[in-house]
Amino acid sequence: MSGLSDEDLRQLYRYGMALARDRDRACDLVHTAVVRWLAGGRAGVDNPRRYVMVILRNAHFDEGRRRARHNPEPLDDGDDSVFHLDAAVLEDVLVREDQLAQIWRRLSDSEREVLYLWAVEGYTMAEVSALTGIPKGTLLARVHRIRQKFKPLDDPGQVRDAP
Amino acid sequence: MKVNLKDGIRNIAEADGPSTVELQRLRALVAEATEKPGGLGKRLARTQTWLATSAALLALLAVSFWLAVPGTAPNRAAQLADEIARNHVAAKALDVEAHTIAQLREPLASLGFAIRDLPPGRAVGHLEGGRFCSVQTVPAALLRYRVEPGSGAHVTVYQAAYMPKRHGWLPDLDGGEQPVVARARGVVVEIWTSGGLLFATARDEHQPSEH
Repeated sequence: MSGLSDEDLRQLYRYGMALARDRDRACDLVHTAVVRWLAGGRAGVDNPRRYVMVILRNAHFDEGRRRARHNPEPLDDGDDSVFHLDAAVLEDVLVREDQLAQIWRRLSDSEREVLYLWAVEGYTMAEVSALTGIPKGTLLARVHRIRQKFKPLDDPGQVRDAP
Repeated sequence: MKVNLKDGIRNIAEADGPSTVELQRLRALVAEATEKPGGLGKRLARTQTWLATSAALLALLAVSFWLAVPGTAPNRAAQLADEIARNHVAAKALDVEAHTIAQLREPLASLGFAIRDLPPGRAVGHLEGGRFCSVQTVPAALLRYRVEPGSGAHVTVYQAAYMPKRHGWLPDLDGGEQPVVARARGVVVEIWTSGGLLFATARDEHQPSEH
């Protein structure tokens, strides 16, 4: 037995979909992550789904870097004293579902990931930072930019394109 | 009808779940990877062990070389200058447009420090706006100034809470010390501290300094 339930597989697949927006790619990501997880030994892993999620996201972004040759985002060693990190600015956003679907497609993989982990997995931004290794400064900026993309919805007829 | 953002994303995730066929496929893939004694997992593990050993040996060689050759140890100010120059050249879109520092303080307040005007005598041009960024992973504000209205030349100013452990020692302007001046990527970078903040300016090398 792998230790992953059907519900774990569903959630991993959804996470893969949030990152890749492609059903086949989501399946491949889950498969790749599980194989790597098994190959690395499972001893001492209390929460296999969370562990596989980290492998899955690394597989996705590693592939993205190889394709796009973009600069990887710097890793932070973390310093909670720098500023208080939260997603309160997203809590009050109201949006029509068709507009959300439209924006969701236009968001970058990294932006969709932050929103997915916050909304579906219920992570705080500090937990998102710990899981993804995204520096807190980068994450704060990302939340700010996501919020900006929803701002034009207050003005009907305007939806800002992702850069 | 409008929905809360969190609920809307949950609905999308629910709709994006695997179909019955896809779930079966995943189960089969996982079962195959789990049960095959000589399967892909083991082969991958052997490959990873081999790669890790090779990488460790290469890293050891690189570190030996780095320590053996004088002058190759990285200088902290030079690292800072290189990072700042790279961001200056990239000139990414601003998060907030503003013409005064006061207009930027609220949008960038979550950085945890109060953005300040440059010290007298170090003015660099006309403020266009700011952007969230980081300097040596410490959250920072990037401010962009146009040297002359309508001109293409711009100066980038960075401000961050000064953390000596992260940034290394830097001159204190309030104590009468002069900024560090470094050149990287065709950009002249000046770095100093004042009032507990790290300041850095970056301008293209061919562009004259105003002070």
